[in-house]
Amino acid sequence: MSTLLDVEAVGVSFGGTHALVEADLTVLEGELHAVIGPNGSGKSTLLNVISRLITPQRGRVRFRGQDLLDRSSHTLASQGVARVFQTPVMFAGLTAFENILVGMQPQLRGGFWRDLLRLPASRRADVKARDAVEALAERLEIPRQQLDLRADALTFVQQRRIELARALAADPELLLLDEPAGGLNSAEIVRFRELIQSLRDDRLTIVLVEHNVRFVRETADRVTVLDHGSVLATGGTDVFSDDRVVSVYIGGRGAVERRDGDA
Amino acid sequence: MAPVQTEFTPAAAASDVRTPESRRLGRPVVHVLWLALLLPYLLGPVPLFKVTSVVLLILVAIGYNLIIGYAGQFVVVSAAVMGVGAYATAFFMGHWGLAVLPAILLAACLSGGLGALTGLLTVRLSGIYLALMSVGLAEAAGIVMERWTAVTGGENGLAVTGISIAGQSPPSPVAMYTLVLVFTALGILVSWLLVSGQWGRLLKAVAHNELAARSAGIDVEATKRTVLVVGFFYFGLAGGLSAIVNGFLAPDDFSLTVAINHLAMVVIGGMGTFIGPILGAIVVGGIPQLLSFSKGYETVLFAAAVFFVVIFVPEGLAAGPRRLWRSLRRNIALRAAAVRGSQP
Repeated sequence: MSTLLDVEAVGVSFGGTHALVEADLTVLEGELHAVIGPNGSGKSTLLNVISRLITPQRGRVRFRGQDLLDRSSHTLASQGVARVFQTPVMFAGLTAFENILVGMQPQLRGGFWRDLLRLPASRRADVKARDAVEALAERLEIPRQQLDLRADALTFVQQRRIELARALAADPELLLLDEPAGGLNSAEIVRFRELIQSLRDDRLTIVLVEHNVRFVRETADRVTVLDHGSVLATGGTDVFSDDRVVSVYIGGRGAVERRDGDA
Repeated sequence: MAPVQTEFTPAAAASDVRTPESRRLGRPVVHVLWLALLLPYLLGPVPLFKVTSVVLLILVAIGYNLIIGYAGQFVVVSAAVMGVGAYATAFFMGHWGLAVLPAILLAACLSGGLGALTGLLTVRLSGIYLALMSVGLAEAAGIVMERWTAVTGGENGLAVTGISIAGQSPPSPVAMYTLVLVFTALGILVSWLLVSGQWGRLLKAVAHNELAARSAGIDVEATKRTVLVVGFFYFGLAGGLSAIVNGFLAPDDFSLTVAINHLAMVVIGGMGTFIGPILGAIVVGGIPQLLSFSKGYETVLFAAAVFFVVIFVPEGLAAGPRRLWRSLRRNIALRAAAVRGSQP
């Protein structure tokens, strides 16, 4: 498998605090790669660097061999990088369906002139986009009647799926997921895990930031463990038996299991 | 109704027939347009003149609705930009000898260009900083209108010369009404095309969360700039038309107070809805005309109406009577409970 995303020696500091120090991350095409670590270890900062919401002071981020740091964040979606936030962000005032349509922007290229003129080609594209949204909703098991509701009126769990659909609408190659298991109960976690794995089976590369160890152990192909902004270990899910990794989780196996329980 | 007829409604022209608003509104809007065409035969010249100045306000309300209601960019510049459009129209006609139509369109384009400039200045600002910046710009424009006497006539005002519509000079109230109605109908149609398509969704996405909008592939800065250009174009167009309709311009017509009145139209009508600003302009613009017998009291009544809407029916008139009634009852109950000191 070839490398899809290559993060090299990235350093980020806010004021005097070092959020990331020489952090590396190599994500192979088609894998489900988890980034794990305790709170404050730099997981979300790393995700923000990859999605260009934070510009690092040092280091390089390459996607398909091209430097991502040259590009502004809004172009990433059309480059094939999509992002799901830790707390679902619904565009209030739009229906769930419209929220997903917004995610189609890289293909639709909606804008002032396009929507003013409504040329036949763009109207055909609109129809195609609507069909694509419906297909996507079906794929993610979003009930049809939910799509016409205002997105901000949906439950947390429903919003999470809508947001995932919005991210997938751009037909990305790389999906960045920020704590997808957070706020879900155990049954929902199982369903979400199956969904994420089925996306991976469809050749989507996924980077998953999570601190629920059990979720990661059962979901990921490879794991990178962050601590204090740098990489502690990287490898298969067997990294969890690494003593250094265990000690980061407050010094022992028991602590790891407790963390599983409260997530 | 024959199914063929739906072909001609704005709702059918738009691809987005899914939003409830588009389903509810296509036909009523067309009926209102027919009624508007009949008004010159029903009203005398003085009432028709009043109706004309109300119809013109719809363009201002649409401009605000795009910028604030959809894109969430809080700027209070409508009156100042209208002033630019109005004085520019007068200038183009008086000094360059342009006819009414090209003068108005050129003035509207100039106003749109001003929107682009404003966008460059304010692109990094949002919320209260953007609002303050816009107040500053509006005040600056007001000072220019007062001092640049060679073009604006200053405090003494400026009589617009060379007004001629279809060979009538000065034009009849019917001609002026028709001119304003045509521009307003076009303005409504354009705003419909814009807000019912992907662009309208992008505006709301930008208004709600810029980071998430960026992640979804939206060029947030370009979208904000464009909406300012479009909104300012609407303001400038309204200003140009007001120059023709009133025939006389004074800096006071374009003060911050006037801009705040304009803002009230959008709030009362319902921000971020297609129909809201149209209703708001008719109601807020029309009520003072009807109340003009109670000189002085209309401002008080008007302020009371704004308070009432903001507190009890924040959705605005666009919500429709049934939802307004429900919202009113719920909000009264909530406030009564809060006053009693208990949670409902």
